[in-house]
Amino acid sequence: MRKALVAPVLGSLLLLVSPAPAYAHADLIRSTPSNGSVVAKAPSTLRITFSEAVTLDDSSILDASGTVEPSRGAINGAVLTLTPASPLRPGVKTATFTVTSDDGHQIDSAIAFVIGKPTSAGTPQTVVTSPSVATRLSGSHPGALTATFASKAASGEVVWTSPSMTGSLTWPVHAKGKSSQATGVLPFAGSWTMKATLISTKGALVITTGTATLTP
Amino acid sequence: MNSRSIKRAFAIVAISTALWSVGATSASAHSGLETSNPADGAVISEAPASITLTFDEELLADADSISLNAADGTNVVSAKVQPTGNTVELPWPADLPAGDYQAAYRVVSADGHPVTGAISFTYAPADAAASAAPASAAASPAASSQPSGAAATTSENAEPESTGGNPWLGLGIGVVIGLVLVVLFAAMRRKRA
Repeated sequence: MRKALVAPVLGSLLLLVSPAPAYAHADLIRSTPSNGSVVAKAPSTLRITFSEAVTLDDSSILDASGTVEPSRGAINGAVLTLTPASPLRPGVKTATFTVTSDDGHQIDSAIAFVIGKPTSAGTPQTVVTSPSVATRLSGSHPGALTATFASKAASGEVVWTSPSMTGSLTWPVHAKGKSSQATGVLPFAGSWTMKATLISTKGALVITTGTATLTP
Repeated sequence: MNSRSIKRAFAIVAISTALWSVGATSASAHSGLETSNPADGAVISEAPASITLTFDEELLADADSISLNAADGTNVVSAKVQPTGNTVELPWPADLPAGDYQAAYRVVSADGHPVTGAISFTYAPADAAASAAPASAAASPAASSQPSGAAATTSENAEPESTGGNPWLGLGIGVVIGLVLVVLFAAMRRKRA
């Protein structure tokens, strides 16, 4: 009987040791092309670097209509490389990917960029936000856009989500005179939900949310 | 110890491991806001002593801050706060007028990961509510008892509520179940013998 107890007790002790709580999460730290950029020539590969080693669950490259452009994804440590099956044509592109970090945490993320000339932006629009920080988006069509906030933020981020894609697109916020701005690419027409975290030089934090609609 | 009892012992370990790992998956998520006072979305008529945010994990004392913002996005007060365990507090500002407010936070969870988010609430002090039927509008925080603050505004909180469960609890349960099973099997064997 004593011996029969040994195995489960040992097993349980091993369990105590094994889940060393390294609960860090992989963050996307940079990419080539960079998120929100306009590049003159089509890249032959996309490289996305995370803050730690990840495994790849899923990846795809989408064109402006959300159609999948065939590509192959491969992970080497913390770097994800996406290789299109055929050269990417000019236009708005999105790469979405789902990766899992060592702690088992799954992350949906995305980057968007424009190959060639930025598309016509269309008419600037007001984004109604809550709390109501006056917010203007520089255009009404998908493409490279700038959001301007009537709030003197020194840093922060704008996170955009859309029913057309998994993951989210993050634009960094920087000061611009008495207001603040963030620039990036919104790749699809339709409704986009914005969550802006604006941080003042003194560290005051405002998180405002709103919705913008883009037409094709 | 014959081979059958070894097999049993292994089965027991496997079961308790499986049980435990169910609990363990929840441990890997971000720490998130668990409760707050005022609750997210609450309409309150009486000012609490402080705005209290309680997370599902211990917080690091690392530039944690809470900002109270008015409905127009202007900052009323912003302060660095010192966590006590899972909780951070911002003293309620004196003479805060009635209105809609947001309490935005930035805290650092035990794993060193910064977590930002916000709750919103409406402050409608009774004396400002005039004579109009106060019964329904005032003091109904129960209507907003959703446990996760700012579920609609922060992606962190979009994760299921089970996130951040205590891995030790799951482990403990697994160990206890395993040992109970061992004792039961042993007792059964003895009866048969």
